[in-house]
Amino acid sequence: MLKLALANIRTYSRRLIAVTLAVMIGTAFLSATLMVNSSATASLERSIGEAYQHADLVAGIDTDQPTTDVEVLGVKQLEAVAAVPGVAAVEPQTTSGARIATGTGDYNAVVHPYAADAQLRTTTLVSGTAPTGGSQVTVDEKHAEQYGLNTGDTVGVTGSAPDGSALDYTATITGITTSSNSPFLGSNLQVAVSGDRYAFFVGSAPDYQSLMIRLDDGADAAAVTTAAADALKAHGISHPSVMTAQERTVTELASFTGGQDQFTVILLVFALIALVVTGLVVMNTFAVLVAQRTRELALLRTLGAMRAQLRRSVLVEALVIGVVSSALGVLLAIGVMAGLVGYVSTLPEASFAVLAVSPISVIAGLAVGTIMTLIAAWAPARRAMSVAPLAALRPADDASVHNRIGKLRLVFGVLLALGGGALLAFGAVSHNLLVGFFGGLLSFIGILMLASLFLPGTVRAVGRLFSGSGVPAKLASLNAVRNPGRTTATATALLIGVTLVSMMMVGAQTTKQSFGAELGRNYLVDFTVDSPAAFGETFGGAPLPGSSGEAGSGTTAPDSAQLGDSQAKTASTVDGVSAVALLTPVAQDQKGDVLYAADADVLAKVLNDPALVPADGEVLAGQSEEAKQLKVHALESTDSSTLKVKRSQSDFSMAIMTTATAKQLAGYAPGGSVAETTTEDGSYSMAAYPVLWIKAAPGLDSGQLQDLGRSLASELRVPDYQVTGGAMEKALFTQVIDTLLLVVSGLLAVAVFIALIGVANTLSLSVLERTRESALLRALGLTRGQLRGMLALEAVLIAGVAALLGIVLGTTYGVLGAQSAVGSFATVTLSLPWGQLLLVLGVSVLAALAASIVPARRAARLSPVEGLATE
Amino acid sequence: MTITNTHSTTQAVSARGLTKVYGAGPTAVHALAGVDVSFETGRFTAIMGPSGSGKSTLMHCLAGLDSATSGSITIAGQDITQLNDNELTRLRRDAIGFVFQSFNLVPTLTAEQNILLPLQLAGKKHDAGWLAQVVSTLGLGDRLAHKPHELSGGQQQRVAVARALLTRPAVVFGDEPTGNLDTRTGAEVLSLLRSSVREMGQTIIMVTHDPVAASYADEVLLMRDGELVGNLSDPTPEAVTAALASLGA
Ligand SMILES: Nc1ncnc2c1ncn2[C@@H]1O[C@H](COP(=O)(O)OP(=O)(O)O)[C@@H](O)[C@H]1O
Ligand SMILES: [Mg+2]
Repeated sequence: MLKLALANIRTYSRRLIAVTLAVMIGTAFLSATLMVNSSATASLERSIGEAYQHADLVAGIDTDQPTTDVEVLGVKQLEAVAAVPGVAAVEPQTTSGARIATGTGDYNAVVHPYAADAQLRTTTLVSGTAPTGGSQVTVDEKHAEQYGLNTGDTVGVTGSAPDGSALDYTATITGITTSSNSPFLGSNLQVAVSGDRYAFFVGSAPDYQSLMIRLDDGADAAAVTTAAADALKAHGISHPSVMTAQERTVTELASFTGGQDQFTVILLVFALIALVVTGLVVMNTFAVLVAQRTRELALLRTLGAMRAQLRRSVLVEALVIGVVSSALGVLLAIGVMAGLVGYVSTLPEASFAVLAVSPISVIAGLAVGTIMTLIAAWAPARRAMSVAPLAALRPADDASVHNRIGKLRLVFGVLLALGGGALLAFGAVSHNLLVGFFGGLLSFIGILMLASLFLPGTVRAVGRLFSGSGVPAKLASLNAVRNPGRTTATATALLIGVTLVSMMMVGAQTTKQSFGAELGRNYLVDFTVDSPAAFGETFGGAPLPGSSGEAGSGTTAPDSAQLGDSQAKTASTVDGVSAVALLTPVAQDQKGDVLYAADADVLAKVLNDPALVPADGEVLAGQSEEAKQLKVHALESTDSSTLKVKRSQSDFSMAIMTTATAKQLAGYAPGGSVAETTTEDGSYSMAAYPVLWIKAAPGLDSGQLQDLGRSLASELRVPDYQVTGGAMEKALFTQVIDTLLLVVSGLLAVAVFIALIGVANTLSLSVLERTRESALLRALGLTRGQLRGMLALEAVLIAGVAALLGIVLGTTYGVLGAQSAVGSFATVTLSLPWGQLLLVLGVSVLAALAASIVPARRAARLSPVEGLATE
Repeated sequence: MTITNTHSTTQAVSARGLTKVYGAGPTAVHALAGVDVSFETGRFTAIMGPSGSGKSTLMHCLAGLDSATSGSITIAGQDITQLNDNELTRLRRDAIGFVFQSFNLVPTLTAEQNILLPLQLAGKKHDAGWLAQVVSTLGLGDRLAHKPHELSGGQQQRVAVARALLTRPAVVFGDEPTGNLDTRTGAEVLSLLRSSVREMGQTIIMVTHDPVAASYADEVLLMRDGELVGNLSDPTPEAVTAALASLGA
């Protein structure tokens, strides 16, 4: 039967192109996913290895062992190891953080000591001289180029020592070093300083990550390992770990790769979806091939072929296709990954990226691809087996193929759909994501099992809408459901992808809206800018004079540290700002909380909800304020006044009143300040400074809002983190969700693409099957254009209905899923991304049109005479 | 050689210097090697000849299903060799009827829908009276709602005949229209074709290899090696058999 199978493959090779492509892509997805994992591990290994590459041994603390006291690898331990016979040199593996101010910018840097021992240096000089003394540094070449730094430049170095004292000095760049890929140095500017200077960064009791050891020539590594461990034990390390650089790398790798495995699992889920869709395409192809070969199979049966032989012949064919296609898929995966890794390794922060084709990624790709093809071909192979010898003699009758849905499948499908649906609904109501997820999964499987009940019917119903518009349309709608089983499988493949994509879109949109509403409730305004004094700074980032932290008690911060009218004016000129209010501290309540005031008309402009502007004699407090009335005293006065409380929905906004109300407070005088105090009743109050509330122009998108936040910070000369507020949070959140959606949609797009190959495949197989019929229609007066239109409409009907149902289903899942996921901490607001959903429908329909081009052209090219001659 | 019928002067179909060559070079097959022929309106003509003599090729070329290598063909006064594919398609739809040996009907459509297909493709209304007459003449009244697979072979062929007649085409072409039928059913279909010529003035050109089928025609044209080599008027099965034998078939 192998001969027959191979002959079939050769004869029908064109019919197998699509199925090969589908299996190839599905397998490639799986293989590539596994290669992502192995490549990431290999790249990380290379990166960690670089940290230790020049060490003979690495000593440290075995963190897997429990210790009672906090044990630290410090100078004492370093000296003890250095004293071990056979040890030539010891250098600590240690880093500290700093900010480097160049003339043009402020950058995060990782500082490490420039090792005295040449072999054990993490970074080595490319040019210039090593850093010595207190004010020399070297920088790594990649970042030097990126930031425009050269030997001889001076830079400002700021940092803080463990004892809290600030480090702030000017240094000269004396040399450029190599850029290390060590994960300890990260992707920031790598700054090496002299060992003496480094001591300032780590203080008197440094905490080294590990000790890198160089051995004397000819020293016995095993003996040194034991001796070094003993030396560490003698110096308070109860569980020392001394191992070779190689061993150390492997150990650390294990602790790094946990998160990466999770990522792989998530990717594998998407690969699985793609493979299920591939399976449907394979099944359909074989079902069609077997149907088209009924006569041939029957003839073989008449000539004495056993049933099992026929089944084997089909399965052998599937096996050959499975093996060849999955091998191609693995090759494709290697190609794609090589390209991807090649690109990633050109990025400065990932130059250590390497491609690693793990055996599992090849074996799993080949095995899963082949087995999936075999499983998908199983049912069609059984059908081949059941062909009666008589079928060879009967004229082919392809007008009425009835697909009866198995009783078992019906029962299971209904049970799963209903049970899963109930679980999903329960998950949504009780805001339980896990329950909702399983409910959704089960109900979707159930719905897919029942697909043959509703898919062909829907296609027929939608087709009827077109039937009125001429014979080709009528024929197309009849043909679309001519073989309900085939239509179901084709449409189901697409339905899966579209359902998942639209679920993600609706879920993302609903979540965004719900969070937006939540943030809108919590944040009364778009942007809040604090005075630099609140962070112990002045404008431009210099520390407040005479203070190391918060503004000193009892003193009023100078104008150079407080927001005022001039900053309000500056802010209002920034592009994208529609209104600015300067809120100044005016009073304190009995708990010591500070109340702010601004003019009523300005407040009305900046508040997201203008109705919140407090009336005369009212204070707007957060929703946690339970009292109906608030007793307050104006700043620097002891007279108290009572204000009516108006509550906002915000959980954490400060209390505000209008300037008019403030002026009526007993003992009120403008310009009062709040020092850091402890009031009589023991409550503590922080110093308070003016705040800017800013409203952004309407209609800005998340990227523009983030830009606006940054430009406010730079125009007002405050650090980015002092600009906060609902708009920023919403922008950030929106960006995260949008990015996630983009990634997930991209991954699901593979499944949708395979399904669309399936649409093209089904159509071209059907066209082959209907060659005579097409020829007859052409003879009777169907023009080429009409024939092409007919096939296009057939494809569009199947794909359009699948997409439409998928969107409806996906929307339902998306809304319920969002309800399960975020319902517990936000009120879910229904919001549908109509544009995106229409886009999905449009893409599906257009892709189906595109998928019909090749088969339709082939059908139209055939002359009626040739078509009629085909037997 | 030229064969011209003398009974009437209006010609439904005519061809001049018609050749059809398959392939090129030494392996070229001259399926039609210069055929001049004309068919008059309201006549039933059978084309006969040994297998491979070019009967089907001639019919396909005359019907605009296939393009001739050279020569001209006129149907209803129009030179069809100058037409492009869409114009040819329209011509087939409006002026030509077909009855093939098998696979005449679109399996997804009912008998009635099949009969109306060419008219609907043309976007034309059908003449209800004419439809009723054709359907009742062919005895299909109670079969109109059936799908092809629910019809017998004879019924399927009759549906095909009804479809061919409904447009009142300039000519109906039949390629072995009774080839797949048993003798009795075949005779029924042939009688129908002949009566459509007698009673409705239909022009019919039929390719067949069956002398009995040919005897229903008014005239038989004989072909060999891509050429017309003789004709018989008012043929009988015996005369046809004898003529074929003389061709060496
Ligand atoms: N598509 C084709 N390609 C090549 N040769 C063909 C083709 N169709 C027919 N022929 C050849 O043309 C000749 C006439 O064929 P045909 O008209 O089918 O004969 P008939 O119908 O009389 O049996 C034959 O020799 C046949 O082999
Ligand atoms: Mg023939």
